[in-house]
Amino acid sequence: MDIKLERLDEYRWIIPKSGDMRVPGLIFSNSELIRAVREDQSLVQVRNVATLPGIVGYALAMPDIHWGYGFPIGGVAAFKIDEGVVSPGGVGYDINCGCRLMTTALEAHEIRPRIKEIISALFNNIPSGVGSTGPLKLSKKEEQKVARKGAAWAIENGFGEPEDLERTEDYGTMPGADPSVLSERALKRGMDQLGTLGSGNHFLEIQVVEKIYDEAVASAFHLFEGQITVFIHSGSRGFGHQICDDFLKEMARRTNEQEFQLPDRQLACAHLTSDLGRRYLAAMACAANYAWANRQILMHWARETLMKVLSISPGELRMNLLYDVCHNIAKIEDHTVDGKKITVCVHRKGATRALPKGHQLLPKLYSHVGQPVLIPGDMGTESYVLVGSEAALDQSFASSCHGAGRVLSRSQAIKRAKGRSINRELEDKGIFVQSRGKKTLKEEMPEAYKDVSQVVDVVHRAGLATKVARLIPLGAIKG
Amino acid sequence: MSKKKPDFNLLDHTADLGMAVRANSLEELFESAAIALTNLFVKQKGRASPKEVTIALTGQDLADTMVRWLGEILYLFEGERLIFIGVKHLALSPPGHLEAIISAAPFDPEQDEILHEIKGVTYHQSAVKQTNTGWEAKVIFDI
Repeated sequence: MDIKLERLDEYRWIIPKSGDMRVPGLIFSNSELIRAVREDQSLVQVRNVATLPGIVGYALAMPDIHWGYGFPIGGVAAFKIDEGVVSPGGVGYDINCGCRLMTTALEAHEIRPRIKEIISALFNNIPSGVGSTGPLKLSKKEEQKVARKGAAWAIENGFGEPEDLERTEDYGTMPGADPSVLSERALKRGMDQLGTLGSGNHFLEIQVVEKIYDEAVASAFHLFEGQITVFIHSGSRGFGHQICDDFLKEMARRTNEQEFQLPDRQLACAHLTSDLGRRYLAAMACAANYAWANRQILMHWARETLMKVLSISPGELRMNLLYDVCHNIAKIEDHTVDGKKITVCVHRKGATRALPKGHQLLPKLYSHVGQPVLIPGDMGTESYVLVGSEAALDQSFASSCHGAGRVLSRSQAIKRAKGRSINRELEDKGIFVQSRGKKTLKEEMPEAYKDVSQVVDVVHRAGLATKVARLIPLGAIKG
Repeated sequence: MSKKKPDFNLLDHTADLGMAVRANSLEELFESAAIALTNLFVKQKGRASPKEVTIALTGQDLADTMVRWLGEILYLFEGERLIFIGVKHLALSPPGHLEAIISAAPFDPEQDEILHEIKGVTYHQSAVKQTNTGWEAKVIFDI
């Protein structure tokens, strides 16, 4: 299907309102990235999102936009509370999939010679891979506490320090979580997956800060060139997948009762004020909290592993959380639309919150600089730290991109990798990777992704978030 | 119904994974789709004794029923660690009610190999339609 796309300026394209669209679409991109976007079906998905009731402003897409299911990956949409909807497909199966970055006192020259030993130790100590389960076995009662408290549960149980909480979006606990709305299936799947990395594009990476773009902000984030950082990308595991599935099925069953037509059943949704909408938000918050507890535990084990393998003390390692952000979520936030301040439900499906300095939701720690925005690359290329800016509030409901974004399907990637050793190619670049799945490295090879530098460049130039530092990988563990 | 090699192919999707399945009858289509999905996420090498599992569900139409059916097959594995082996009995009544007795074998972590973690069976572009030669289903999975 042809979608009309009008170029607004160097970094913004508009899909004009037509047919059932209630608002126009707005895509942040550049002339090279937009070519790939035109080739898949993500523009149709932007248009479909624009037809949902109560949507305000634009159906937005970040420069890492690609074809998803229902919403495009990289999609952002805000809905009025009184007449708008919440859609599990607009959050995704991996609720609160997100990123966590830790700084250390270590420098590259200390770690580079020992990277294989470090990655092997992390690979042994951190459960990863398809269907991975960990050493933690939760009782139902304890799992419900995790769902209510999130990262705070992990801290109370010895996984980290209380100050980690103010360095986590929503302080690691999304309000409104109610485990009584969860299915037995969701609880069952969550019992033995806390503290597991998962598979696919999830990873734990040892990186080095290669370049600082903004000295003042980098200093506030305690980043310096040559420094070793640890980056985690993971989510809510089977617990979140089941919650999405449960509510999607319930909402899909009720689509015939609704006064509007859905262009795609995966966009099944419920009014935010309805019992079903409220129950989904309460369940989604449980999964968000589970994911924050999960990443908190993974960080703790990474910290323990590094201290052990390097035979150093906590004071010598000084592995501190810089920030933890989610990029699959729906959140109730206040924004200004058409000059009026209103409360909306912002869906970020593969998009990261990016608050400017002084914003009331920021912890005191970052109030004077803005929110750290963490953008992972793929295992062979760089990741970025950015900082939220005022323009994101005006243009994108305080949202930024979430990563490089895939450009090859998994089968295309496997074909492209035929006869090659991706492991060897990465080692030649000085990157040591260990993965659990046989196909993971091929499916996740660098060519399968867009150029993250271009994606970040668009975000920077469009003013959604500005560059602070570039991090390059030394080694990674993958599922 | 006897277990046989399903007629299916994978569909390219930038972020995820899709499949198109073909069969002579609607009942065979549902069994073939379940086998094809299972083949995507696990390679069964063990010889654990299968058990019977009853599944009953209702979709709004055949596509909805297919998504819910495959969702049950996925949950059996993810939640109960049971691998779908085959259908012993499957009955469909319009517009989308399904009742089935299936056989499923316990996952053996020592011998069986998990291939992909499938997060969900999506509705996106899901379809079940009659063709000149039988029936065809299309489904996209989130992985």
